[in-house]
Amino acid sequence: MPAALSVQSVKKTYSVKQGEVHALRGVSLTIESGEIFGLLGPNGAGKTTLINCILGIVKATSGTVEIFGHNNMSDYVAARKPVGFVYQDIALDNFFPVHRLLHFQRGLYGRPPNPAYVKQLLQELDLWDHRTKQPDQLSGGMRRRLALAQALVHEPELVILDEPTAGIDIELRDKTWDIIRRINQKGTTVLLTTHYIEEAENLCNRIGIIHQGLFKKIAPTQQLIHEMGQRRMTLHTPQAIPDDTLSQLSFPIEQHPGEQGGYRYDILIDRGVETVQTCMDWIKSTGIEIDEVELKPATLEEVFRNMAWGNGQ
Amino acid sequence: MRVFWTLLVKEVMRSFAIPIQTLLTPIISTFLYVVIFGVAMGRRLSFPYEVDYLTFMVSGLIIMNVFQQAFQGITSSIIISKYRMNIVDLMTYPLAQHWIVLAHGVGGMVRGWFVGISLWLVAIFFMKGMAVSPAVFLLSSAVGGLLFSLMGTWVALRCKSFDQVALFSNFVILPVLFLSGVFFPAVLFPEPWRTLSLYNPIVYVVDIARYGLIGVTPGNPILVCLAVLSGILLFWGLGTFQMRRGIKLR
Ligand SMILES: Nc1ncnc2c1ncn2[C@@H]1O[C@H](COP(=O)(O)OP(=O)(O)O)[C@@H](O)[C@H]1O
Ligand SMILES: [Mg+2]
Repeated sequence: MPAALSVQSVKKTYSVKQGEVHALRGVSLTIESGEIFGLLGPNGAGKTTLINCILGIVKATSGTVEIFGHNNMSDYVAARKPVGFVYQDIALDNFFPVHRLLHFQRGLYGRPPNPAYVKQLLQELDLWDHRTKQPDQLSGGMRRRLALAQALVHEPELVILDEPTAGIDIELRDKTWDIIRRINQKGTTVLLTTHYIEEAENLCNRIGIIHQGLFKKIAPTQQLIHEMGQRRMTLHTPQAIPDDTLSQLSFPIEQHPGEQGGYRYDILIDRGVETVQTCMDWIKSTGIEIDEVELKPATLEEVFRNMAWGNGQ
Repeated sequence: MRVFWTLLVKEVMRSFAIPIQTLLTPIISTFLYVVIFGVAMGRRLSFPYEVDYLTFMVSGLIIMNVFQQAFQGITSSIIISKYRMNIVDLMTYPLAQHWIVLAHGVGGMVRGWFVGISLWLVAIFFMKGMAVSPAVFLLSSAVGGLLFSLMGTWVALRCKSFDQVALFSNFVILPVLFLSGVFFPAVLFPEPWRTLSLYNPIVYVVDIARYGLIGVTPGNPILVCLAVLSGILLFWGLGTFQMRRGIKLR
């Protein structure tokens, strides 16, 4: 059986007035049937571009995409048929009420009508009471759910979701997660993009980290969490720490002016109690005056900036 | 097959989502034309056919509306999708590009047809001799409507805004229609328009559709079919080509 999705050396260069944007600089990826794969990366990493290349909305500059063994350019009818998707920027036709839109969507993917399934889906997404409304009469959250319903109504084998939970409340996010897990249990392969580590951790069995148009790492989730478990220690001091003292520390450290005067130092610490201890020892040894210390998980942006495998490309 | 059919039904239903406007505007504008041109000019014209000028003109207006509505219906449907950005759906349907284009073409044609038939029924109610050969009218207006609708599909896929479509509509569609003997028999045009009109395939489609309505003799029907069929193939091909190259967005 062919892989659900196979992306080979895809490059995408946008021509803009100021020159060229290399949104994808040669990415390869294989997703097996039954996976939930998370495409994780900061804004501008190239996630949406990759999704659009897979869907064929954007033509890759080079490289190939196959969906269940069908090339998405030369054999696009067969490649598109098993796919359901939600764009990052949802665009819905406003000519029809919700339920009709979903009935059409089934037909557009060659599926016979199935009112019972449409009803079940609408109920599950709390849209049943709104089924006769036009999309423009729905709230933002409802439109998102409608887009998800549209992606699922033809019972696709591969579901592609671009930032399915960006900017929505926790309740809807949990619901979306539940649905993703449920369809996956029934055998649907899922590819989603996110810039929340938490989402990728909770949902995906494998994660690809993309940054500046390249995969930095593709690995099973557990392995990645281990490697990414960095923390950020923030120190607030009334006086600046001398440069030669700073250079004694082996962790990356950044100096900023403090919000209430003084200075703020951000230190990125590798995972583990040991290393936090090392840091505390260093602070003690310098004898500098400290107003406040904070310890937090590192943000994804910091992790990217400091990833050992993120440099030199 | 199911995919094509669904897309077609969807397109047709889209064009009827605003039925009052779809139907009322052409009826009112036809009425205005009749009052202004028909009644005012009709009496002063010496006319080579056995029908009076008013009958001739009304039949022309019905045909013109089929073609115009076919063009306009599909262009506005596509341009609205561009404004709303759901036009990208066209690039994701599991259907060959030429069938996607044809479904739009037929969708627009049905709208033009619907408007034309409604006008026709109104005309039959008010005037005599308006239904000499309904089958000929229905068939030829469908074929002509398809031509205009496919033209509209291609134009709308290329254009980024309503303004650009209006440009094409005003400087290509309207002149072609006016020069196709809608208001006035092309054979009576002054030169050079008369010779020019011989090369306008729409003249023949209008003639043949008009034959179905009021029985005035058309030109060579085989030539008509050839001209119109090649027109349909041309714009079907251009539309498909445009889809392959990529739909122009805003
Ligand atoms: N249509 C476009 N034209 C030019 N540049 C683009 C276009 N779309 C995206 N880009 C650029 O490509 C890069 C990747 O963008 P995108 O794929 O949207 O990232 P992400 O989805 O990960 O936030 C960005 O630098 C973005 O500015
Ligand atoms: Mg994005």
